[in-house]
Amino acid sequence: MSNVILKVRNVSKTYGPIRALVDVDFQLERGEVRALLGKNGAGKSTLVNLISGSEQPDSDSGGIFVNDVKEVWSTPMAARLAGIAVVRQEFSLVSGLSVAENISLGMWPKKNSKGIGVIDREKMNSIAAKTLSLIDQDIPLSAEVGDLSLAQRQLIEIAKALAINPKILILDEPTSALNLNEVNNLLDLVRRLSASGISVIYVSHRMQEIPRVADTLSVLRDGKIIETNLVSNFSIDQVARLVAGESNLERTQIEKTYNSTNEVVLSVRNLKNERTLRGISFELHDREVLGIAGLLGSGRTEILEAIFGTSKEKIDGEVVIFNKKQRKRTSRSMLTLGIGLTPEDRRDLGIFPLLGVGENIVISARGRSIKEKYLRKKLENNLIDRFIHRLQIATSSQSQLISSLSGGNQQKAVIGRLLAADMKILLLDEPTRGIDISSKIQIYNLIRDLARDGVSCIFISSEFEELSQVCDRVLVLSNGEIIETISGLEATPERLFASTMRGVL
Amino acid sequence: MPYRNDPKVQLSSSFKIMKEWDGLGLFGSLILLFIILSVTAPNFLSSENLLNVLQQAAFFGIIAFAMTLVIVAGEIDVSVGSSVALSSALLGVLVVNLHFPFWLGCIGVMVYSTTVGAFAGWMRARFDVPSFISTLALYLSLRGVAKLITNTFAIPLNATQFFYWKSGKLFGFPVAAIYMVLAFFAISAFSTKTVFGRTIFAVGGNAKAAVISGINVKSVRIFVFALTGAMAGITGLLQSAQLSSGNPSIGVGLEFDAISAVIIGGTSLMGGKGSVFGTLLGVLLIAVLSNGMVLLGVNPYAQDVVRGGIVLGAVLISVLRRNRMKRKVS
Repeated sequence: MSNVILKVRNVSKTYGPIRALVDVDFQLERGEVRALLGKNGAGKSTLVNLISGSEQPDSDSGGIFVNDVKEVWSTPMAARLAGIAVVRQEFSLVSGLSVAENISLGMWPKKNSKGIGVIDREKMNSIAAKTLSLIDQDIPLSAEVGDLSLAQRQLIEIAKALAINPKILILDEPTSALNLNEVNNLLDLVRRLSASGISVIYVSHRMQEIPRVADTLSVLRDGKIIETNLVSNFSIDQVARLVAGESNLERTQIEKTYNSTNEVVLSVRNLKNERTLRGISFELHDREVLGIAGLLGSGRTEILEAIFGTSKEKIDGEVVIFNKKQRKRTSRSMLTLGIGLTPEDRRDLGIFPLLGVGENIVISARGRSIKEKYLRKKLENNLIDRFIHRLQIATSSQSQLISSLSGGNQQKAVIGRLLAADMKILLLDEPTRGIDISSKIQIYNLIRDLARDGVSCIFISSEFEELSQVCDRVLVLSNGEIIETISGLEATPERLFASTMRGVL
Repeated sequence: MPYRNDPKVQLSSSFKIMKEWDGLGLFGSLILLFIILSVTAPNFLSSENLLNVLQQAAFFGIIAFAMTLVIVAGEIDVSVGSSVALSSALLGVLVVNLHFPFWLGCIGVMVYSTTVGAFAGWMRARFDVPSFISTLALYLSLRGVAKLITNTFAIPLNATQFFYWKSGKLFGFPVAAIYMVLAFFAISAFSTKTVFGRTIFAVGGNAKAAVISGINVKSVRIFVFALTGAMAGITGLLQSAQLSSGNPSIGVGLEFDAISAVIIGGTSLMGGKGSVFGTLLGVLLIAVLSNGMVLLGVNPYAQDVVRGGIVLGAVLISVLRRNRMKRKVS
């Protein structure tokens, strides 16, 4: 009998024009702990979703086999019943229910299987107590999950996964919410589970954890598995290089417009909030493109929201814009000053999906660059035409619904909205996420052109290649602190990757 | 909270105090109101009046208990008042015009009311029609049907067909109040003791997590509306008994009282949290207040203003509490 428990053979997954996974082969043995590595967008989540039944592979591709039986799961529950448990980054707990209720959610024991199904609280508690003792936790079973700390919730999530006695446990960034001590306990726990015969797929960004917890590693890049090997065959540096890869964008020569003597247009001193930001200070100069590199959850988005005044949390620290201290910041007052933001979540926060491209572009200009009290069609149309042309937005007309455009064209329109309103400083939060390569290059060129024309820019990206290509300086952010500032010339993708990784060791 | 279903709660003391305050505050308000009315309102404390309060409470309380589960599931049902009217009208038509035996007429009403409720739930579960919209449509059309089939006239029913109901009392207690007590215990126990009942809280708290965990979200949604429909049917029968007629004009504004009682009782409009016991306190508060205002001769329009204000206040308190808790946790 073979020892292979999970086999993924020739599996592909396509979303519209994007191939998220291409002919992936993946094998897992009983009791093996496999680290799954890759940059954001390399296909890790997609692979996890396929294995856990949240999504189905392309119909013309291969299949997923558990104990050599081909499995096609239509729901996550089906995969769960087959013994595959996932602990996800976004929580699957119900905060109004108790710890015990959450651990056995979906399979609450009944006092007698017939009749009206009275909850067997005793049995429910014993299931919960048993799984919690597996992970050495002693959280009161009747506590409401909504009242627990993030770390405790993470552990309940793991307990919930273990409650079904899984054969395969998938942990997706399980340590991102934990402190050092809790991380150590978790790593020990994973080793114990593996010793008892459970196979584990361990997705993490934290290089330091890999040799301590994993036997083998697989590296995903651009939807392909480029390496599968024993962990002991690699040093941390080698792994980092494998994950980052060579720069696959053609490095176009970009004219740099910035020098450090340029006047400071925006400066931030000791920016703090309660959880994510721990004292951020930096300066943005005129005509500068300032990159921010950092992993998900490092506080990137929070910095921009804190500056722009849309943060829900209380913000401490000082923001000086055009040499004037700005105490009460709201999105309206920032736009009046000439500072605009394009949000990371384009679909929910960026576009007005039911309005046309034209109206999406002109909406912030009304009352700003166009000061007329009444709508002036002609004036607006001219402005819109100018930006559709300048940004090369592929649309049949101004009135075409923005939601019918490609992601890249939507993003260009969202940036166009800020430009049409005459913004002097742009805060761009992941402007190239999920858009095609040619739109990306257009956006890079646009940012550089704007810098030349006198618009400064803060540019957040998960892709080190593009930061390296576009930015005059890059701040490396980790756990809410700036750990390094790298000048544009030195900011190679490898250097940026190494620096971000150092932050999470 | 005195009505917490699990006595073994071990929370940090600050949470405990805050949570207890909620239930206690409501309980305290009820007692306070009771004392004030005992002193100021003539006849308030007479047993006849108190039994009358209970009967009035039953006419929206029975529905409010089921409505609690609808709101816990993250939904709303604004059609209940019209459904009560159609239940009453239908009873009249079936028994008087179509000569159904009385018991069969009652069964017919229950089948109708449960089915219509289930239909609203099914629209939500199957097509994702927001429950506010589908029940708003029913609010209008059910009342329309009730008036159509009766020609807007109440159909007199033979009071003796209502057994105990002709006197309206059983062992001295209003029959409607007895139904309310039974409905309270049944729905309360169902929601805290049974797997299916507790599942409603999971669906309302995080429907995505419920799906991932293999919970049948659709059946939960259909069920809570069907239950509310059934309770509207019972209420329609009880009101017909009291009026000795099948009346298409009753139940106006009943949805407001039922939903108010649920909100005053501390159930979260966001879903996932709430209790039938809290709703009982809310029902009593509204019934006592309405009765007191009538006894004190408050202008009926002013009464509406007061009731509206109380609901707004209750929502405000619960929102403020939630925000404070959130800040505390983070």
